[in-house]
Amino acid sequence: MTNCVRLPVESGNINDALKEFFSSLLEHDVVQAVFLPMRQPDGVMVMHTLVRDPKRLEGLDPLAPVTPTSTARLLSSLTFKKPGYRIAAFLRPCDCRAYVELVKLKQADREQILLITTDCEGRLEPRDFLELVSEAGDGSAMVFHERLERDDDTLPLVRACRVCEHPVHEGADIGLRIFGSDPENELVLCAQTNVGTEALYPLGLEEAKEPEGRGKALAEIIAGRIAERDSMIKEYGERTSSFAALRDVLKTCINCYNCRAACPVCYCRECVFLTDTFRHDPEQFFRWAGKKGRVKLPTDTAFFHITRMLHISTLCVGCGQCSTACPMDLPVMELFRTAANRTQARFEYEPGRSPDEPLPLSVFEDQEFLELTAE
Amino acid sequence: MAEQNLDTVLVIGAGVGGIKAAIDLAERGCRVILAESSPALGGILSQLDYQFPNNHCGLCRMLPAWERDPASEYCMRKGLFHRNIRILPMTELIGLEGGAGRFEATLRTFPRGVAPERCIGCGRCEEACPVEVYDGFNEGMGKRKAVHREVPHNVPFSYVIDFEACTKCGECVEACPTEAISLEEKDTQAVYQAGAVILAPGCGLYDPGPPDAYNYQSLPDVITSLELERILSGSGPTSGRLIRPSTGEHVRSIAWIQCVGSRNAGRGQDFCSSICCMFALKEALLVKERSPETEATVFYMDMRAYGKEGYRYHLQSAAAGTELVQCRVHTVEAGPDGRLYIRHYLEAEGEVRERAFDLVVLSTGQASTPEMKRLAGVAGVELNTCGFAPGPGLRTSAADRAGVFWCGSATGLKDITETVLQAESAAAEAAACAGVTSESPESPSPATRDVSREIPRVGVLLCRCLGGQGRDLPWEEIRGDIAAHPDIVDVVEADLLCRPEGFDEAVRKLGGKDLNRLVVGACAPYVYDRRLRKLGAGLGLREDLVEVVDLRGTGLGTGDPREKRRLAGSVVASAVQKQKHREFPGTAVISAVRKVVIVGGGLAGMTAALTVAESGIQVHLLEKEDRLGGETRQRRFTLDGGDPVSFLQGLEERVRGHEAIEVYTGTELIGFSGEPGCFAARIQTGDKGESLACGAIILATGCREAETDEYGLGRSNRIIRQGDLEAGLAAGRFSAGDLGRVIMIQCAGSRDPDGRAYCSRICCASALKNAFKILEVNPDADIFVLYRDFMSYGFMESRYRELREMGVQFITYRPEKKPEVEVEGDEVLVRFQEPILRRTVDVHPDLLILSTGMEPSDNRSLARLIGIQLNEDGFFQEMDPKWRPVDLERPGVFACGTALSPRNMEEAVIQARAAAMRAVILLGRKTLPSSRTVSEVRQALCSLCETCISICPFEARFRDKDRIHVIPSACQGCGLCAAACPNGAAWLPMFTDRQAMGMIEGLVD
Amino acid sequence: MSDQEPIIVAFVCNWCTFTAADLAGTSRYKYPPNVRLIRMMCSGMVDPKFVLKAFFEGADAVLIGGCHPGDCHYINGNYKARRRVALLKEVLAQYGIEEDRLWLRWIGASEGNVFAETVKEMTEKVKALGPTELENELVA
Repeated sequence: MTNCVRLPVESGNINDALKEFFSSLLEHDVVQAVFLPMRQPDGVMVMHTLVRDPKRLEGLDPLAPVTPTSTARLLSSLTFKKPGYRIAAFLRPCDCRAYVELVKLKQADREQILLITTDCEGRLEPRDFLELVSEAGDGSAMVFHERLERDDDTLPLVRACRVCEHPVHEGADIGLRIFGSDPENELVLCAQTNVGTEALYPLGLEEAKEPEGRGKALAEIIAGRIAERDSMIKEYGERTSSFAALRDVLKTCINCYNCRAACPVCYCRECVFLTDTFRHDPEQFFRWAGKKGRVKLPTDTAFFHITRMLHISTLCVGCGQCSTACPMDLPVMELFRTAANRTQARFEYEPGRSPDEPLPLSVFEDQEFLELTAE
Repeated sequence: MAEQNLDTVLVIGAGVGGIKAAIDLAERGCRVILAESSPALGGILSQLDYQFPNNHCGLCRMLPAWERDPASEYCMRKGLFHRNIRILPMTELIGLEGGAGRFEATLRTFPRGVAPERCIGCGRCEEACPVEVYDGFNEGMGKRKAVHREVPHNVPFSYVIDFEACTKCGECVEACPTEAISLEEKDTQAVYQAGAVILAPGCGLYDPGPPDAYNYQSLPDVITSLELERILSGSGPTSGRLIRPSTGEHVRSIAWIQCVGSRNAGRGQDFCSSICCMFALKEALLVKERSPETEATVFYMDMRAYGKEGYRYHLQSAAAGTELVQCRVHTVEAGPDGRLYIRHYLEAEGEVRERAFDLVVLSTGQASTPEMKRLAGVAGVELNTCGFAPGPGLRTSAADRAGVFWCGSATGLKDITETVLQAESAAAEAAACAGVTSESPESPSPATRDVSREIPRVGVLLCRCLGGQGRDLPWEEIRGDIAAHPDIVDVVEADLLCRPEGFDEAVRKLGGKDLNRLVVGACAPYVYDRRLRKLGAGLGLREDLVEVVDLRGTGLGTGDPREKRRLAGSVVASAVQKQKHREFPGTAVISAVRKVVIVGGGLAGMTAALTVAESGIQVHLLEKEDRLGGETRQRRFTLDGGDPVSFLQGLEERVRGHEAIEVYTGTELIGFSGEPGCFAARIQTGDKGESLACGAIILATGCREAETDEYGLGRSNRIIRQGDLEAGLAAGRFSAGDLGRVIMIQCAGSRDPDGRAYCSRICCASALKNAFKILEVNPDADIFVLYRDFMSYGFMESRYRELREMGVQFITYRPEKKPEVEVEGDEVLVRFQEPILRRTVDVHPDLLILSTGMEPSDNRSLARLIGIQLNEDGFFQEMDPKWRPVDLERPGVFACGTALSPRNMEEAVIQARAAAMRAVILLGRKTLPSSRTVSEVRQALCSLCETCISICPFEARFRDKDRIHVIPSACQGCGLCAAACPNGAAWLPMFTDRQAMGMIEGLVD
Repeated sequence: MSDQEPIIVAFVCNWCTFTAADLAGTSRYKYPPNVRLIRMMCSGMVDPKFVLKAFFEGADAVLIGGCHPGDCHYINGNYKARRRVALLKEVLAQYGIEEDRLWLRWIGASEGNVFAETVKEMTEKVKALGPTELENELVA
């Protein structure tokens, strides 16, 4: 089921075309709000913005190669209770997948969301994005695209994106096609669900076909990223193949917990490491120091990271926000994806694949994992 | 000298039935004296269970679900602890005077020889004892000493002396380190007053030796079904390997012979033992699981896998490859090749055959025992001609004695489900008889001080004895290690805490130290738990502020002194941490609405209503139709000569006349919400709606006689159903001429995977009773009963035999070759295979009667409304069919009668009383004790992910808007929610993360 | 600390494995004093962080004992425990924590011998492995 529409692009200005599209969604009352990346009043940084007035779409920049914070998490803050408005939300595939996980975790609503995603070429760290903007101004999204098209190695794409094998999300209602397309001249949007089809229909847009070269381009991109992913997992699998090695990687961690705050699927209102369970009595430290002669503070560093892996590595979508957030530049994403690679395979679970797939630890079967109990 | 009060119930026999009855009564607020002739609890199950494959047990699921003393939170192998239950082991009933409400029972207790409160199970007496005898527990597998443990795998190991074998040499007295043994003890007798008596002594099993021709005693590869259980057991003599006892070779073929000692009037065994067919099917399944290539063959007469899940199980076993051979077995002989040859007669083929097997299993049935006869004599109750007792069903037998109730296998072998139902029913009747009100007494709480705001001051009390294992421990060092812990105020040592002198000394030493927590290091805490916790009372501490840890059962027996010191220190440190970090949850309060809504005013609904009302709890009885009685109104007579019409009338009069029962006719339930103890039920009568508050609900929506499109039903007025026949016979509509030749076809539309896949359980009995009635009208009637497996289980078998002897022709058919029916004008032609002529015959009956069975009322919308499940056949699905057979998935919702499972009137009455008992127990209390563990929610931490809701096995959590709620009466304190919650928003006050972390730290030094 | 005996922290379910441990502790099935029991109501109550805590405090191995499938007092807690252990093992294995340092075993109430054998076998395996690196986490 593909029914696609075409948005003509005048003189390479994709944002004007997209502005018309989103404005039309609001005007036709397909949705009552849109939630998408917009250039902030400073004209530089791009943040997700909730817009209800179609006339206030100025400065939208959905393809700006930056996501300063998890937009799945931001969107869930609009929907953890039924919002009462239909919202068109523009999310990268990784955030779409994280959002699906949040729906399963009852932290978000899917029914009232028209989920729009894009073929994702990746993103830059915010500071790298600012640098790009200082060079390319408003056209940074297209400049980013062009530089990637010509395999510009100097572009500091975040590593999470380089190893991301999910550059598209088929579960979204509408997908913007980039791979194998010609965004300089036209943008192609395709409905991927019935909801998407119904949303596009009233807009009366010109029908289009899937870009011809997309399948091939996508396959190539995915193959390349899987190769990168596998080499990263191999590298980190080896780098953390003993507990001492893991501690070495984590040696500069300052227990700031930014990684968990940035993580889209780390959904607790308060991390257990900030609760009384881990707020040790002063005497505790002295007991520890007594036991081993000394104790390093802060304590519980590896405890925290491993616990987080136990809690959410099965749900990790590899968005890389943890690494983006880390003030000590720890390879948090690399550690997580390496662990997640094992845990997700163990439960044959792919986060974000389907909202109907049960969370791996909420179900069980009679006859499974029999080898664990030496049966 | 009489002891106890009249609200006491005396329960004789502590097998499954007796224990279940005792627990229910105790929960109901009765005091219970549970007397058991052997030294151990559990009856046959303690033996069976040991042998069950995978150790499938579940005995603990009998324990109270709603209120649980911490002392009863243990596997029942460790004993049964309930404040209202007094257990008298090695005790039998020898006299019963008085009557209902005022019995005086004389009990004789045999000497144990070893004082259980002093015995530490060290086993030195056993080593010293020179007398060896045959071991009864292991059925001949090995020997034991005169001083022994009755059930070797039970803990604690309290020893007992077999005085029949004991030579009184005194070696054990010398060897005992705690002076627990006395060889001079005599029988003691005491008189107890009781309001009612429940007799649950169990029954025996048939001995298949000569004159039976199975060569059981002479051929080692001929075994009983119980012995096969042992062979299949991982902890049995062959470690679970399926091998021939004679040669040790792998068993390639195995045969079961059914009805050994059952259905044999010639041996005085004029009954069916009811459970052997299911047992054989189960064993065959297990064999197939273990060893798929082993041929499994069951030789049977009728495969009596009857009732709700029976036929499905039958098919499951057959699908796994079990071969089922319908025949009569003549002999089992050894062949020259060492294999066993079974000679059997195949009725369908009309020939005798012989087949060889590696192993032959005899499905031995029930047998009466001298103890059953003795007990019946003492109780003044008559047994039936086979030596079994009347069950607690319809009171029709004049042999009953008011106030005396039987339950369990003494009334005929039964499976766990039926035993539990009977026990609950007997308990309900006994409670009423003993005049127990619905107000269960609250636990008296001794005066204690509130220490929740105090800084922890932990005292440690160490018992140096540890069952004799503590003598060589380095106590000085251990004491020093522990005292170094900053939270510990003092460490006190005692010796023989289990004895009064040790206990008193400890209380003295601990006084005046202003302690607010106490950790006791002793042995086998579950034995001494409650007593040692009483230490707290002396210090003004609530029971749960005293932590008793088992220093003995932790492997202290081995290792060098340094390791022992380390271990003892860490175990105590761990307990100190647990007490230090404990929380002080408030008392969970359920304000129970003491009213029960019962949906369905048939036999089960009315019986449940009366049982509830008699306990002093209000009932709203809803009936959809405009009169009470339900399907039972169609019953005019019963197989055993009962009068269901006047029974039902009498029941309706009592229901109508009871002031605590409000009857609503023409009324349906249309809405249901709330939680156990506090539900709101919306009802509608005509166009008038009403809301009823209730604490529990019982569903008894009944069944109806099923229709079928088979065998020409509806195409001729000569073709009718059993129910129509019954009505016609009762109304005198049939003359002798109408009943010259009658054919009955059983399983019409039943036991058919494409139709009703279950056995309706009652149709064979209906065929029997109607056949008797026909013969009353026309003694010369030719009656043919075409059947597949004739389900005359239990004592119905004798009626079946009588009819055969009276010339009724019972002819089997196979489902793949059903009888054919043609309607030719006014005539009906039935064509079927005649086994003696061995050809197809055409018969023109005057009447063709179809046994269509029953189907449950359509409960789909009711199930949706209430939030419960139906099984594939439309019956209500039990939460745990074995151990909690009337509880449904949603707590506080119970079911009974034919909407829950197919059953006859007597069985439905038993089930109804059981359901009523469960509801009354639930509503019997207003608050839960503060020491009970109920999970809670830290709302400030909760993200509402509902993981806890989905993981809870008891539906004890739900979300209401922006909060997760816990239903205290449903929560069992298992902690699954706490483990699943990532940040401790779901938590258990009696086992917090901080406690667990502290305990772990304490353990790892 | 390597001269000391290894320590196994055993989280045992109250109903089955705890009974078995008692049975072992007080009968002829002697087992080494290396095991330290924590009685949990259900094996499904074992929070993965308890297992980590045990290792960080210096336990050399962790044993989780539950009822056989079908026997769980809480219906299916043991199945849920099994999934959790599968997860733990995956993560721990990544950091070189050996397979034999975390065992899940179904040990029924009457299987005192099985409990003793399990502890013996685990103790031997863990002795061969030597101490873990996890306990140094506290020291740095």
